Amino acid sequence: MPKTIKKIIICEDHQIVIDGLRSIFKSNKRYDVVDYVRNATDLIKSLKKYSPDILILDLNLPGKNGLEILKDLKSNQEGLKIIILTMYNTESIIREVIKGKANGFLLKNCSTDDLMEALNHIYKSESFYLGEGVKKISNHSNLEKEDNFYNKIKITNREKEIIFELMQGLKVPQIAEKLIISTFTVETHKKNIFRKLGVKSSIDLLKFANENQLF
Amino acid sequence: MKISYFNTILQLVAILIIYLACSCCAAQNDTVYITSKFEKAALIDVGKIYSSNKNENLSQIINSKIWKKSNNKKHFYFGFNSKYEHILFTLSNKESLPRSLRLEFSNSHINEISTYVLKGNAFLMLNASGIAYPFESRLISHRKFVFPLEISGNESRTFLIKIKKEIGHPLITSIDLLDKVKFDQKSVAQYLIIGLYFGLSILSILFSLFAFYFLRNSSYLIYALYVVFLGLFISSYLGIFQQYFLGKDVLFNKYLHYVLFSEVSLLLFFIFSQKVLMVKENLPRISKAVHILVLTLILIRFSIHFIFQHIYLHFMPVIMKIWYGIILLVCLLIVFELIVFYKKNKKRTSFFAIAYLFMITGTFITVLYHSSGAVNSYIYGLPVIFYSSFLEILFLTFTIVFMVKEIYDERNVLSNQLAYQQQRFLTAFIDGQEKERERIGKELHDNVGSRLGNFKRLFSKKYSNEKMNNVIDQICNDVRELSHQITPSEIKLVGLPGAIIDLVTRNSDEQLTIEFNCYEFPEKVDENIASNLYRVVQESLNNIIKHAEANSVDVQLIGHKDYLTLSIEDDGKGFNNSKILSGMGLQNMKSRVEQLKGNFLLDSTLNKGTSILITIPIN
Repeated sequence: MPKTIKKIIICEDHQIVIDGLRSIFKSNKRYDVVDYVRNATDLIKSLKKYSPDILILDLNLPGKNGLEILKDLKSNQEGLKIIILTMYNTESIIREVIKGKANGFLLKNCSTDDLMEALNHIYKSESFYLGEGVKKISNHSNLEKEDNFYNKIKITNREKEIIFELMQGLKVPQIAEKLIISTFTVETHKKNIFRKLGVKSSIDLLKFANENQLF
Repeated sequence: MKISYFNTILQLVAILIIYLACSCCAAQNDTVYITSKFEKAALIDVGKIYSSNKNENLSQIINSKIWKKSNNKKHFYFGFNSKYEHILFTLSNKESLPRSLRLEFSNSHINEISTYVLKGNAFLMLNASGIAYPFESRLISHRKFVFPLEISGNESRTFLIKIKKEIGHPLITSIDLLDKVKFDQKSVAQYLIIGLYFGLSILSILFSLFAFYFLRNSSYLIYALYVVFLGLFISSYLGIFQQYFLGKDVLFNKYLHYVLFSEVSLLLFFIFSQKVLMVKENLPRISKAVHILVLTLILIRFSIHFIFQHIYLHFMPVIMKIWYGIILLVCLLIVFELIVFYKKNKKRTSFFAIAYLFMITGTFITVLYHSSGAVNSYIYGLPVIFYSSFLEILFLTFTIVFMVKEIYDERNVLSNQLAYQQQRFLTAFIDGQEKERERIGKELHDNVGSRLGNFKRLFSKKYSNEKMNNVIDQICNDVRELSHQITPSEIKLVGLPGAIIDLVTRNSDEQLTIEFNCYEFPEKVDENIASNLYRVVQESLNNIIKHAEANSVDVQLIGHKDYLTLSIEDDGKGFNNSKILSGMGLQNMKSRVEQLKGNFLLDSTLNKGTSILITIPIN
């Protein structure tokens, strides 16, 4: 049990949510809502003024959004615990929140128990707190690496066809005629392929295809 | 040496004097000398003429002194009042070999021509032809009146040509004596040129009929009729009509059809010119005047030919002057119309004016030729009016083609405007839809969602009712899902790639693998571009799930230096149906892309899949 009273700031642009949260914390002796703010600029002032322990942060805010605030805060606010409270429940956002090094993620329809559990958890454990009903992310520790690896090898069927024809020495108009598509389509695919593989010429492409055994 | 020079000069002078003397004799003589080099002689240079009003006894007039040389040095011109014309000439063969010659009349509308040869003191009739005889009776089947003349070696024969013409009409014709081989060569060349003319006519007629069929404008029909009648007139002027269409018909008035064709074509031209120059719209009074004049012309001609033929006979020259006067007036009115219309449509007027110039020139020369014989009207055996009408049709057809092009261009502009309008409507529709969705989505997300969440927390604090909590959670989830579907507001938070990842995750299942990859995609993308591209992905995934029966889909975002690419490729059943292409879903996607000034490329192969490739310019 933490002995000191934890100071909480709520950053949320809906009065009804603020009111609800304040009424929950009113009867709780362990936490004290010292301030509530509606946007990023007010938040920074408030943080300076109160140096709170916990920030309950909404993502959908006017001006700077919650994810941007999260990135700013985590780089220069040591010791501040941040819990995201949001309507969003999508993988991409949860990933971003985890990447942003927040401490927990709660849905706006979380129960009071869930909220209290989250507040307890962030002081007990270093691990990320996923609230009730939040989507589970599989092995999120290796997300970025996996992405890069994937990027390098994924070539679509259409692109394979075009690479194949390019390797046969065909020019763009000939390929277009052969595949019965417009030259502009072939040209666009070709540029995409070059861009994706980071090659600058058909010769580089040939090398790449051979090294990676595309065919 | 000097003496030798002097002798040569003396010899040359002697030869010159002899030559001049001979040619002088020849000019005064009525004899054509046939040598081995002989090709052609104009009978006007040698023949003697005698005009009469009654049918003379030929044997009696042979030695009288009534024979005269023609005043006109180019062609035979017989005035209004005579009825019978006689031309006398002699052929003298200087060679020992017999020769075949041809006597050719340039005019194809002579009533009666008979040829005679002098035997002792009597004229023996050789042959008779003319429009009073059926075509088949001609000895030589030719568009012109052509008579064969045979002459033995070293022989001299005197011939007489007797022409019967109508009183009240002047008659003008060239009569040439030609070597048979030369005549045949000339004929072939002329028929070839005539063939070209009719080829052009037929093309013009077909084109204008097509134009009439598709554009439903009577101008083109009138033009087609004009070319038909002009062709008939020219063919009958050249004698082609008689040769090919009147072979056996003796009853048909062979002079009348020629006049009929010329007049119908002239009237059609007048009407056509009024349409081309849009006189009714621009100069309504002139238009009325021209129509009255044209009607007068029709009436005059009708009277001359069908009703008062005999009454008018004596006034023919006067009537003809009135007739030509009215035509001249209409022609001048057309010139005025041309000047007025030039300001409105330079190209069309120029084409028409050139054609008109050719027509006027040709007609003027021909009228002058036929009424007075003052000008020569034949070039290489074909009349000037033939060449001028060839050029006229050429330029009138240009005019017509240009008119069709104008209409086509106008329609193109209109349909482009229509397409542009439709595009604007669609864009506005999409915009409105997007705004409305955003409003509802925001309301659901911010207001309803927040209130529900708050309600649940307050509720769970007071009552720990598992069942009720679950029900509230369910409602919250539903609202969240609904707000997601309505507006992809997470784009603002996680960017387009993040939002597409969620979309892809939501739509993937055991049957359908959707892969999303993102390469070099810029961090910040314009909100409008992002939300439109998101919608395109959403729409096409919906399509794929509903229709494609695909197993896998590849969605890619690729960032380039100054543009973005979105590609969506599936391995489904594909389609080649234009209904799908013009369907609302695809049109919606296209219009989103067009709104971003991007390119929408789609190719689909049956049983192989569909590939959508979109490029959007950035910066």
